[in-house]
Amino acid sequence: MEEEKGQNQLEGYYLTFRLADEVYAINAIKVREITRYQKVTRVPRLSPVIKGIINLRGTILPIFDLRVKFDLKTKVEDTKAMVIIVEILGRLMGVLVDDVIDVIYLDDSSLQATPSLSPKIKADFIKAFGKKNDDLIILLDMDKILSLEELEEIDAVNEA
Amino acid sequence: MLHLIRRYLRAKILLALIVLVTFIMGIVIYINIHSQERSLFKKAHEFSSDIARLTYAGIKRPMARGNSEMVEEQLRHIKDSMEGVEVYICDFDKKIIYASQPEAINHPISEFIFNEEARKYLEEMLETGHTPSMAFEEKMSKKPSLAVFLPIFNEKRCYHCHGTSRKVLGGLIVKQSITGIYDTINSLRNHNVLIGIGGILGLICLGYFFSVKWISRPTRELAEKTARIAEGDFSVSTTTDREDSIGILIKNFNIMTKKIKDQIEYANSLKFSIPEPFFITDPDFTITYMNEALERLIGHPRSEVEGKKKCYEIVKSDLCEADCFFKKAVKSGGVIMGRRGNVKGDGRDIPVIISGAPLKDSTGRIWGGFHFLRDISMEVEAERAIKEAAAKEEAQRIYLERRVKKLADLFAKIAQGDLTGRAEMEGKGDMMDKLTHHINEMLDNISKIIEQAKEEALLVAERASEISANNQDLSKRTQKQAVSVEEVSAAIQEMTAIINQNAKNTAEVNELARLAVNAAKEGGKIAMDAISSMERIEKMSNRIAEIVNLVNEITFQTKLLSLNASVEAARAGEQGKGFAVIASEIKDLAIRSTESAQDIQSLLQESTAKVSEGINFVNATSENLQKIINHITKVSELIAEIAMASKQQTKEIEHINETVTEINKVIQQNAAFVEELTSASERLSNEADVLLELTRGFVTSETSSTEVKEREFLAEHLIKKAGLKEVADSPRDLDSGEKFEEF
Repeated sequence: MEEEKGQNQLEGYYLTFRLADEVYAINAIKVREITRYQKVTRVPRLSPVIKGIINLRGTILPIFDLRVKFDLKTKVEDTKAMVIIVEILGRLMGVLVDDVIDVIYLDDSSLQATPSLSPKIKADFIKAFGKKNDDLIILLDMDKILSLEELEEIDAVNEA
Repeated sequence: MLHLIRRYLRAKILLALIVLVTFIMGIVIYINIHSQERSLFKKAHEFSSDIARLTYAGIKRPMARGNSEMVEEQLRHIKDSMEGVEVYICDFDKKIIYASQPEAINHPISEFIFNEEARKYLEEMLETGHTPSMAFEEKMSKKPSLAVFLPIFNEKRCYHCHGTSRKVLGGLIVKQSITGIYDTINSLRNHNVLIGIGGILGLICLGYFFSVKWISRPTRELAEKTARIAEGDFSVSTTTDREDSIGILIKNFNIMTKKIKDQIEYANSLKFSIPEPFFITDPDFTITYMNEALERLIGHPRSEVEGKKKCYEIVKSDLCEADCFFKKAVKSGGVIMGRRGNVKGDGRDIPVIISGAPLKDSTGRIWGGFHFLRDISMEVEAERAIKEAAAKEEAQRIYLERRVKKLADLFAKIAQGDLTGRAEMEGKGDMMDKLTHHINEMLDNISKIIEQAKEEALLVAERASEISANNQDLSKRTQKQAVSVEEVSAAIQEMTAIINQNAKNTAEVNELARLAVNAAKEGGKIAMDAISSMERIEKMSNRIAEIVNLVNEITFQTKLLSLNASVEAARAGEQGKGFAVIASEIKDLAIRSTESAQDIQSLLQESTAKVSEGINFVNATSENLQKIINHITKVSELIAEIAMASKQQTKEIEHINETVTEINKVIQQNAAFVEELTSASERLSNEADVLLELTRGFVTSETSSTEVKEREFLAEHLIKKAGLKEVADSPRDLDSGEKFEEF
């Protein structure tokens, strides 16, 4: 609680989803839409994080795979998988997750700031940890999750 | 004028003749005049040339000598002697030196030559000495004249005066008046024109006469005749011996007229040759023609009907009001065949059959109708007569049927043995009464015969019972012998019974085996049914799985929608809170549905597994049942072997039986005598019984039936008495008297 500082705005609605066996959450305000996973069109010579692009009701959106980003084993294509259309630094893009769980409200009492991990580990995209019914939820900062190169690539795809 | 030409052929011919003849004659006249003119001018030219040459010959000498007076004298002489001829001699400067007209001397020659062309030729001639080959038309004191030029060459004898420098010294010009020639030409032209006009008129008259005679007149005659034919007068005829196309036309016209006459004659003869009544109407139904037959039928003379009466006043038929063929024909051109109607005859209606057909001209327009009537009063009469005859026949048939039925009832009674009934007489004296009488007679006779037969049978029965009683004694002796054989026979019978029991048991076992096989087969069938049921269950399970998948899909979509709703609610902030709750509820529902669907799915999988297990079990059962069937088949084979053994045993017993039979033969020979006697007496007794039985069936009269009963009783009593005596006399140890009789 002593580390709250200017992080009072952490309190709010979060969209929780499952990836591998973990539960993650992102700010619900940033979420535009949740859609079913559909076949992506692979764009050649992109970094493996970006799975490809989809056509969502006429809008071409890049999709990135959080499993690759988190160095998890990639799954075979699953019809139950979902894509969260989220706004990252002013861009719309899809995030491929295993399953979306719920939209929950997390208040300050159920939030805990990131413990200082080893500085070697680049983990600034983890905003905080939340608790809900004894489950641990990792709050992700979507703005920081992608590296500069990846963002450039996405921009390139969008421009194309 | 044009109207006339268009209307009359002769006007056309006349016009053509005028144009043609005028054209040809005009050309001929023109050519004639022209050639005459040319020959006249030629002659004038020659004449002028001769004068010039003569003049030149006359003045040549004096000129060579230089004797001008001589020349002048010569020229003056020409002037005096030849009227209308002027001679001029000019030098190479075209100045006149000598002239027949002295006033022209020293004038330039051009003052006397007016033709420009002539002047040109003159100049050329004076230069070169070339003589023009033609004469030039000129004017001489305002009258037409002809000018001829001749050059005067520089000859040797002239050198002394003129030197040698020039080739031509001058020219001689002769002008001659040609007024006479023109007069001649004019008078010739007038002649020609007059003759030409005369010829034209003559040719036209001649041509017109022949064309009228050969073409116009015969065609007009033909036209008049065709006009008469068109009016309907076919009596015209025309003759010709011409063989040109007009002749052919006339001949063809004759042939055509004849053919038309033939056609009309053919139609008329057709009309008159129809013996049946008919009439013809115009489109207004007015009768225009009727034949004599119709006249006879209706009794009105033709003059009263034709053109005065309508067809429906003569003929009365439902056809006229409802279905008039004539009206119908206007629509479709159909024909009416045979309709019944009535014709108003003199005072009565005559039944007729009406037929009709529309009459059309060559363009298909209907101009009338042909109505054909047939008097059918005879047929109607005949019809009535046939009906009456049929009614009479029917009454007769009913009467005969009634009589025959009575007889049939009587025969039915007789067939049951009742001879008491008699047929009823009706006193009509017909064949049926006669038949009835004979039948009654026959029945009386038969009754009598049967009564006699009954009495005879009773007597025979009495005698037979007596013979039977005597036979009993003989029987006893043979019985004793039979006893011992009987014992052996009984033993064999026991053995046979045991073997039979054996065979029966094997058959039973066989039957049981067959039942077992059937049961096993039934079991197999049930197993197959079970398999097919399970397959159906499997199919249903698959269908349920499909539905569950669909439910899963729907719940997934619902969940997706609810999540989207939740996100939207979160983004809406405070206002979205209530909506968030609903969205979350929907999500929970979706999750619960998913879980239920999963439960169903797992249950289904379990049941599918169970079903396939069941199929395996049933398959195993089916195999086991097959095995059972195989085993039972083997058992059945073994039983067959046992049956074979039983047969062999039976054969052995037959051997034994043969032996017993031989022993029996001896006894039988003994018994034969008794047997024969017994059978003879029995046959007698039986036959008497049969006779009695036969006659008992007949009831001849009420009184006779009781009498018969008494007699029957007596006969039975006799038979019984004989039987009792036999039983009483038989020994006590012989317990099976009946068996002996059988044996």
